[in-house]
Amino acid sequence: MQKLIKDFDIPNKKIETWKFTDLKKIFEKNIFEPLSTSIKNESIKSNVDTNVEKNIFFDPNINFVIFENGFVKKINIQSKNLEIKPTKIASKKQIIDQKNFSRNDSLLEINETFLNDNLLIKIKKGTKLKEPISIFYYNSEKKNYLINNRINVIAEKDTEAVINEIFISNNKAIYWNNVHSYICLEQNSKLEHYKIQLEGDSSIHSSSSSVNCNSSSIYNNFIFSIGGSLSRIEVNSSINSSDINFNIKGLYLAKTNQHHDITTVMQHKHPESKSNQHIKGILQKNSSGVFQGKVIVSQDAQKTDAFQFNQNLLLSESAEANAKPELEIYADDVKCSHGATTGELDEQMLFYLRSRGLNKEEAQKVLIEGFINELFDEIKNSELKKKLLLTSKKNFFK
Amino acid sequence: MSIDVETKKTVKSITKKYKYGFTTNVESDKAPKGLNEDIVKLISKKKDEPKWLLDWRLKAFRAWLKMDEPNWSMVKFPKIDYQDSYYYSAPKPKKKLKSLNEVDPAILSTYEKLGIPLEEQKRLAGVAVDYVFDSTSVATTFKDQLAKLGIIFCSFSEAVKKHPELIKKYLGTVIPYTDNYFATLNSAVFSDGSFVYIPPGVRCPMELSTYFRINAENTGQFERTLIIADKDSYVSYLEGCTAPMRDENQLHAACVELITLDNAEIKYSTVQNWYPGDEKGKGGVYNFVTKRGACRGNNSKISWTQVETGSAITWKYPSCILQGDNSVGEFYSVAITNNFQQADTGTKMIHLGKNTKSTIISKGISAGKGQNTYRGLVRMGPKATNGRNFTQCDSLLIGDRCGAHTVPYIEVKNQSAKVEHEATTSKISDEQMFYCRQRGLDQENAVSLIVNGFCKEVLKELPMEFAVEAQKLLGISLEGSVG
Amino acid sequence: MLKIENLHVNVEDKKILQGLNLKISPGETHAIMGPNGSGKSTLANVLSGKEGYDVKKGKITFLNNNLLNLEPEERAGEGLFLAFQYPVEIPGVSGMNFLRTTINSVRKYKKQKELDGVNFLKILRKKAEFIKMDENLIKRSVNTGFSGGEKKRSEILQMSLLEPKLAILDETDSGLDIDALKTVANGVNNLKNKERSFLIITHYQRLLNYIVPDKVHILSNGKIVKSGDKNLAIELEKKGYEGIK
Repeated sequence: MQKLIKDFDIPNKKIETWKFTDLKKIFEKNIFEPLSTSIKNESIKSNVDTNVEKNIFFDPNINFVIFENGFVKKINIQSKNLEIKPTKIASKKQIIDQKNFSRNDSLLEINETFLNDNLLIKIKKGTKLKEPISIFYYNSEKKNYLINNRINVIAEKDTEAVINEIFISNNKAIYWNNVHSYICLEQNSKLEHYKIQLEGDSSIHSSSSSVNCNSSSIYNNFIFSIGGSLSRIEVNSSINSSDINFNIKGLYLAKTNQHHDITTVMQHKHPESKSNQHIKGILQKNSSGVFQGKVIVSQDAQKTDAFQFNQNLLLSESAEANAKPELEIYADDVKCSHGATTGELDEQMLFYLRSRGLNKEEAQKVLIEGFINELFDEIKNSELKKKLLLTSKKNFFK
Repeated sequence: MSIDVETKKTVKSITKKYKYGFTTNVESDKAPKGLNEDIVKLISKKKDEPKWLLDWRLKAFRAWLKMDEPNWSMVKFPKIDYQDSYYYSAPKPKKKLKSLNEVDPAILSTYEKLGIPLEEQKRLAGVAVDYVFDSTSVATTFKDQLAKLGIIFCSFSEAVKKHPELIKKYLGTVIPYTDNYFATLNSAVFSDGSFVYIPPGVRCPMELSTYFRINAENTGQFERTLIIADKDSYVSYLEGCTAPMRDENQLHAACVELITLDNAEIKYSTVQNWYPGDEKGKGGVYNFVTKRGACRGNNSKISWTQVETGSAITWKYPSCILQGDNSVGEFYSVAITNNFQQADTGTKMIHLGKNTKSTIISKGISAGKGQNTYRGLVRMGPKATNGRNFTQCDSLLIGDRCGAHTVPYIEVKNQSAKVEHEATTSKISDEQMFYCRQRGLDQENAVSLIVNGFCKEVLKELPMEFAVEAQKLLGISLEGSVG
Repeated sequence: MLKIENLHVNVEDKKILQGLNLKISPGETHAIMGPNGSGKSTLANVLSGKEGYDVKKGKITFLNNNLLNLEPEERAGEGLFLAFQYPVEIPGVSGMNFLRTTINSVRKYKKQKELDGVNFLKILRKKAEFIKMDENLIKRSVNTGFSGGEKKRSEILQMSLLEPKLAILDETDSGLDIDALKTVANGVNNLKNKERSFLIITHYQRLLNYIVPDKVHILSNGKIVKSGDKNLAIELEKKGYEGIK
C-alpha cells in the first residue's frame, strides 16, 4: 500500500536530537505533498531555468548537475574518470553501506519512501579531479511540495575531488527539501565538500551527509547556511580507520524569523584519527539558532584527537541561541575538548575600534565581518571565498 | 510475618476510619511491602501529621502513579520493582554489635585511612559503647547556642509539629510535588529529614551538620531537607559523612529544597560515600536525589559543593533558580566512579533576574569500568539582562574500560547575557606518574596526589575539616584502579 | 591643547580621581607617574571615552572642545590617540583592513579625502619599516596571537598612521624588553614636533630615559601631588613613592 506523509511521525521536541528544532510545528500550519513522478515528464522537456545559470556559483565549464523541482534536469561531465548518473528508483538497494549511520527519526524513511531522484557520483581510482562538481538544487514550484533526493558519492582509492552543493530557489515557493547524501571515502582519498544553503525564505530545508571514512582519508566540510525559514543540516561521520582527518567548518546567518540548526555526530571508532569542528552562528531579530555536536570516542579509538568549538553572536534582544556540545568518551588516551560561547559583540573590541575613529555602526560591522572571516580564512579557493563573502553581505547585512 | 498480618489489619482499620479522623493508635514497626494510598496514609498517621500535609502527600502519590521512570540519563540499571519495597518502618535502634571485631575488616581499614578516632569508629560502625565523647551532648550544646540566635535546626517531623506555618509556606515551592518521578515519590512517602530556618540578619556561627543532629539516625531512604535563609542571613550546611555507610536500602530518593531571601546566602556541602557495590558491581545504593535552590531575593547566593564518591548509581543535579536581581549560583562538583559505578550528575542554572551570575566547575574521574556523565543546563531567560555563566567540565580517565561524558545544554534568550563553556578530557600522563614515583611515591599515592590536584578547585570550596577527609577519600575510592 | 580641571571620577561608586588638574600645551611631553591603584589608567580611559567611568565633577577641554561630550570615535577624529596598556585582540579582522578603515574614518572626520589602496600601502610600508614591524604581522588578525612587544609596536604603528595631536601612552613600557623599549621610544621621538603633545603614563622611570619629558607629575590617591621636570622622575626612582610624600 502506498504510504502517505501523514503516516510518518514528523521529528519534534520529544525526540532528544530534535530538542531545539520542532519540525512538526510547521506541519500544523502547512501540508506538504510529496512530489510525484508525473511532474518529471513535463519538466524534462523545457530548458534549464535561467535562474540557475545566472547564479554566481554557476560555472558552465566545470562538472555540474542540476536538479529542478526534485528531478535531475542536466548532467554535465567535464572530467575524465568521473561517473555521474541517476540510479533507478525501483532498486532500493543501498549503494553505500548505511550500517554505520542510524537515525532515531523518520527523515530518512520519508526520503526513501518518496524518493524522486537518486544520484551516484563516482571518482575513479587514482583520479585527482581538476574541475569541481557542482550540484544545484533549484526549486520554483508554487505549491507546498516535499522534495526528496539522495546523493551517493564514492571516492575511490587515491582520489581528490571538490563537491559543491548549492540550494537555491526563486524565493516564493513554500516547499520542503529533504536531501540526504552518503559519502564513502576509500583509502587515501580527499574530498572538499561545500554545502551552500540559499533556499527560499519560506522553505524548509533538511539535509544530512553521512560520511564513511577509510584509512588516510581527508574530509573537509564547509557549511554555509543562510536560507529557508527552518533549516536543519546534519553531518555524521564514521571514522573506521587510522590517520583520518575530518573537519567541519559551519556558519549560519539567521535572518529575522529564521531558525537554523547544525547538528553533527562524530564517531571515532578506530585509533589515531583527528576531527575538528568549528561552528559559528550570528542571529538577528526573532531568529533562533542551534548547534548540537556529539563526539563519540569508542574504547578502541585511542590517541584520538577531537576538538569542537561553537560560537554564537546575538545581534538582537529577541534572538535565541541554543547549544548542546556533547562528549561521549570510552578511551583514556585521547585529547578531546570542546568549547561554546554565546554573547553579544565584545565591548572591549568595540571600544578599541571606536578609539581608533570608527563610529559604532562601522565598528560593529567590522567585528561581525571579522567573526565570519575567521571561518572563511580557511577556504583555500579564493574565488569561492569571495562569492561566499559577497553572498553573506548581500543577504545578511543589507 | 506476624507483624505484616497485624499491620495489614491496622492499615485496613485506618482506611475505614479515615473519614472520621485518626483515632487508632498503631503499634507496628513495618508496613507491608508495596505502595498504595493506604501506605501513604499510614506514614502520615504514624507521624501524626496535619491533614494538609497528608493531602499534599496524596496528591503527590496520585501524580506519581501517572509518571514514568525517567530513561534519558546515561545510567543503566535493572528495573526497580516499587511494589517490592517497604515504605515505612518505624525508627528503631540499629542492631548493636559487641565489639569492633564484628565489623567488616574492609570498613575498618577505610576508617583507619581516614584517620577516624577509635571511639568514633565504633559509633559509625554501630558498636554499642559508652560514649566518652557523646555526640548527643555535643549536639545539645550546639542546639542551645543556635536557639539563642533564633535559628531553627531540627528534624523535619519536629518542624511540622513546631513550625507548621514555615513548612506550609515553603514546602514544595522549589521542588513541586509533580517535579519528577523520584521527587514525586519522595513527596508521597518521605520519612524524615532536616529543617533549618535562619532568621533575618543572622549569620549562623557554625557549620550545621546532619552529623550532630539529634534523632538523625536512620532517617531512611526518602529524606527531605528544607533550608530557609531569611533576609541578610548566612548559613553553611554540611550533609553526609566521609565514612562509608552500609545501608540495606537500595533506592535512595531524597529531596533538598533551599530558599534564600534578599542578601542571604546558603552554602551547601555534601560528601556522599554510600556503599558503591563490590568490585564485580554487585549491590550498592541507587542515589536518585533532587536538590534545588531558589535565590528568591535580590543579591542572594546559593552555592553547592559536592564530592560524590559512593553509590552504585548517582543521579543528581543540584540546581539554582536565580530569580532575584544580582543573585549568584555556584556548583562545584567532584564525582568519582570506580569499578562498576555510574554517575550522571551536574546542575541547572536558570537565570531569570538581571545581573545574575553562575559558575559551574565539574570534575569527573572515571576508573575501572566506571561511567561518569556531566549533564548540565544553563538557561538565560529573556529578562536575564547581563546574565553571566562560566562552565568548566574536566574529565579524567584512569584505565581504558571506563567512560567520561559531557552533556551540556546551553539556552540563551537574552542578547546581553554571556555564556562560556569549556570541557576537556585527559588521562594521568605517564610522565606525571613517573615523576611522582621517581620522587618516591607508590602508584596509589601518586594517583591520589594527581587526582587531588585535578580536583583542587572544587575541594577548596569545602569547609576545612571536610576538605581534609574528602582528600583522603578520593585516594581510597580509587584504590585498585591502577596497576 | 588639553586642560583638565578639578576632575572627579568614580568607578562603581569607588572614588578614583579626586580633583585632578593638568594642562598640556602643544608640543609638550608630560609624564604621569604613580603607584598601582593611583588612578593612572582611569585617567587614560576617561580621556579616550571608555564607558563605566562616572565623571562626578570637573571639566576636560581638548582643543577648545568639551571632550566629555564627544564619542570615542569623535575624540579620535579630533586627534586624540590612546596607546592601550592591553591592546585588544580582534580575531578575524585583518590588520591591513583595520588600519585602512581607521585611517580613512579619521580622514573622513577631518573632511579629508580618503586614501586609496595604493597610497595607503605606500604610507603603511614606510611607517612599518621605521618601527621595524614585520609586514606579515600586519596581514594577520589585529593583535591576535601577538607577543607583548609586537602588540605595543602595533600600537605605535597605528599612532604614526593616525598622526594624532595628543597621544596618550598607557603603560606602554610594561612587558617590553630593552630592545623593544628602544624601538618604541624611537618611534615616539620621531613623531615629536612643535604641535604634537604626549602624555606618558608609567609606573617606572625606565621609559623616560628614552622619551624625555618636559614635565613629570606624580599621581597619588586620584590627585597630582607633585610636579617637576625630568629630575623628579629620577628622584622618584631613587627614593620610591614613599620617599616623595
